[in-house]
Amino acid sequence: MMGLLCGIIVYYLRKERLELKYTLLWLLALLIVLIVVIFPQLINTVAALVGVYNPVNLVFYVQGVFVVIILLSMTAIVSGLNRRIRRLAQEVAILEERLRQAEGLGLKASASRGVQEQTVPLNSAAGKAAQ
Amino acid sequence: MTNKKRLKLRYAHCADSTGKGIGSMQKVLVIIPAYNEGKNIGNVVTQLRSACPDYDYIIMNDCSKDGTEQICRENGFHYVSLPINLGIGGNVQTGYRYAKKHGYDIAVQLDGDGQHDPSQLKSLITLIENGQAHMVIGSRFIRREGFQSSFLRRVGIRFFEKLIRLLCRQTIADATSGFRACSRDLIDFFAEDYAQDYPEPEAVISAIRAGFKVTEVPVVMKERKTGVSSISSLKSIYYMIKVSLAMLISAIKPWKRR
Repeated sequence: MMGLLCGIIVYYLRKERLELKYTLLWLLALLIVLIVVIFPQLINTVAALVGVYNPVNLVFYVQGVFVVIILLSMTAIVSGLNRRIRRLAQEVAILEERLRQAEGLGLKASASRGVQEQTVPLNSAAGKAAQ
Repeated sequence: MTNKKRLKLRYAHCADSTGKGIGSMQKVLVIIPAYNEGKNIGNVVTQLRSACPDYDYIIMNDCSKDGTEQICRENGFHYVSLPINLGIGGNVQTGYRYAKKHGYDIAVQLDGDGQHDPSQLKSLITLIENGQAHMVIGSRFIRREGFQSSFLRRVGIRFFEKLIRLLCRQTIADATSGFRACSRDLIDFFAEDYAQDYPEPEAVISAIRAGFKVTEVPVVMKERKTGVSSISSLKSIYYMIKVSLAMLISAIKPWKRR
């Protein structure tokens, strides 16, 4: 089961479908599982240490905590992405408006001068709009 | 208060470089947020142009599905069209970013549904021009004239009033009003950081807590002509919870967030 999960993560990382940054938590979880698999006695020791009656309950508990942490980090990541996308959309919208204005000015300028080529007046208009 | 001083210092050089003295004509931008307001937007712009020909305006089209953009283009209105729907918060913030980029001194929000009367813009702007406030909100509930909203909504607005008084020790009677004017400092502040989803009351709190002076002036509002409000009856519970929470959160945020 854990081998499968490990395989999937490595596969995704190789295919660049997951960014390493976002898989660190998963890899940490896998590392803990790996340690426990190699030293199964560890669970009993830790359970006795924190006073958990049944060592399996400790496994479930830690599992639950990890899932919650990973979900929370996902929500934080989504919020960050949301903010970035919003910023981008706002910039795109403002630039689109500016481009529209510049093109309008450029067309007018070239029409009044009777110039067929639009690139030069377009640029100058954009330069004016930039100031 | 130190924040305010810092802002003044920060903009001192701007005032010099543009060569604007106190009392000279200030550049005013009217931000008109619009989502599916194709039926109203023409009237709003026409009224605005006849009432205040000196002010620039910009329609913020929040990716409307009813051809609002096409109407704007065909009529030659000034508009910014978002490529994706951001909701009223992100939409209005785009307006503030636009105002900042183009160096406006004052930005006024005017709803695209015709609720707000453009001829009353002047009373909002005067206070900012005189430097008496950073933000002026047009309030329905000072003189209690015109459209007063439904009973339940008034209860909700009264609740926000109490909450703001609790958090900011200041009375804002109509924090949900989208009819508001902002000074250059506040434009700069909102361009970087503006509340999302249902932003009006939250924006008021964050402005007050950042040290800006917020006041209200009485206005008369009309009932919207066509189209639907962004807050339907089903969403109103979510609205109340979200806004109250957001206000509480903005209250526990550190006072200076730059």
